[in-house]
Amino acid sequence: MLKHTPLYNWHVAEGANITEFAGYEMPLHYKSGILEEHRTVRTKAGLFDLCHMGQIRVRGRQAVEYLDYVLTQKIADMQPGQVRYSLLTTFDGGTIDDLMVYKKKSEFVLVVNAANKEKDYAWLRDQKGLYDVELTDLSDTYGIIGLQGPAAERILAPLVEDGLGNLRYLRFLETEFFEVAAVVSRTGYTGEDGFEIYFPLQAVPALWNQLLREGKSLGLVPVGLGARDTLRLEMGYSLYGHELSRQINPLDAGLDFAVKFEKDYFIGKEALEEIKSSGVKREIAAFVAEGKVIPRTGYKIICQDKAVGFVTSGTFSPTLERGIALALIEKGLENENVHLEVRGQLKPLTRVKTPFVPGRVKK
Amino acid sequence: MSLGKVPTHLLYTKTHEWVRVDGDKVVIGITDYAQSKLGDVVFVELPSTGDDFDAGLSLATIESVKGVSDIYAPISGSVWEVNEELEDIPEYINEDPYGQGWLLSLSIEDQTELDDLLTAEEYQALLEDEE
Repeated sequence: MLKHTPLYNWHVAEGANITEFAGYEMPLHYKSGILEEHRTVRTKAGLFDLCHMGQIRVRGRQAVEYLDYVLTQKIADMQPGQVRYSLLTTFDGGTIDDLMVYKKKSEFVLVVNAANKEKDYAWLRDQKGLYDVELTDLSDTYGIIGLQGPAAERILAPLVEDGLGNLRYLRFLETEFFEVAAVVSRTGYTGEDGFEIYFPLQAVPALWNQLLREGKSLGLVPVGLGARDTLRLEMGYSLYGHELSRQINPLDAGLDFAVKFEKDYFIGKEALEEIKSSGVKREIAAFVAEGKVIPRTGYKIICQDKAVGFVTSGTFSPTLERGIALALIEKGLENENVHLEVRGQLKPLTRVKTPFVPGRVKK
Repeated sequence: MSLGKVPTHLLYTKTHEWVRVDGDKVVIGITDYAQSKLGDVVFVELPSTGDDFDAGLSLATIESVKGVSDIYAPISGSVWEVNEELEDIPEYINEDPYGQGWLLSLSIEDQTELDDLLTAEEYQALLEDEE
């Protein structure tokens, strides 16, 4: 039985093309299509239904110690109002999920991928051991709305009493809409300035409609999962199940910045140290295709007649108007002359650094 | 989801191509239903004029943001003309699938192959089954 967010009926009434994602029926795109939605987020603003994502609250006397044990990121020095990107890894260093950690005054909330929420919750519960912590799955209690794009602040500011202008990237504030408590963070996965709003699930449609009304004159439109993916891929951001998996560890994925080896211990530390000292064998590399070629997940990367990897995410970049890809390849290829195998033909690729398109988050 | 327009004067395939008989040629495109399933078309790869295809073989590919789709020859024939405008304006396939979004024309080798194609009524029934 597929699940629905409280905005499902709204999406259907808007004529959205609905797709199955992580056990939910979600909008892939609305009538205007992925390209237009993508471009609107880059130039104006887009509204995203993220109510399918998971939220796990961690509180208790040893919440900090526990999270420093299960997460690769450093938690002890987080200040209230701060958000950090972290990985959740197994003892052998495989990636269980990537997530955002919200540090509140006396508790933490982990925001996790929709497809992984049950698995993450089960893992976190299993690792609890004797830690004095309480875990609560808030996924069906709070919903999330994403508001992304250069006009996002102008749209949201009139609805938030104070502080939005001073809110930095990876920080959040607690406010209210319609006298109901909400969390607003300056975060997102599009590369644009923007916010994610946490609000009681049943009240999400009221806030969604209010935001669309407020933003209409500034060009705000709803945006589906299709453009969410092209936007994140233009930034070179990892997506679990593509650039990260049980088989693709955070070092393969180039996410060293979120793996804090200076911590005394965390699950996966020994395995990842071993991998690091023996030399990371693979890497996620970014490529741009030439001509009318669009790399797709699973296409092979060929170097000197030999397969050296495969595409983990590929799409048409609406900004560059070229095919772009992230691929897992052998690390340290001396010959940079690589090709993409497309239905039996070899097409040239140019290796680039991410992001494919300059990011504009408000640092 | 809407099944899209199914003009009654055309023939259809189970793989969502439309076929318009024009003398000793057929003009081929993809249906309104097919274009709405594909979403935004960004690249079209067409064969060269004079290329020969047997019925059922892939003769073109359409890349949308979402994915790549093969276009199959509804009948056997050689490519007479291709819609070169799609090179610059692939969105014609989304905007006008039965008009400016036509893909190519083929010479007819065997008239009897046309009998295997679906009528508009049969294609409409197929779409209703698929949804």
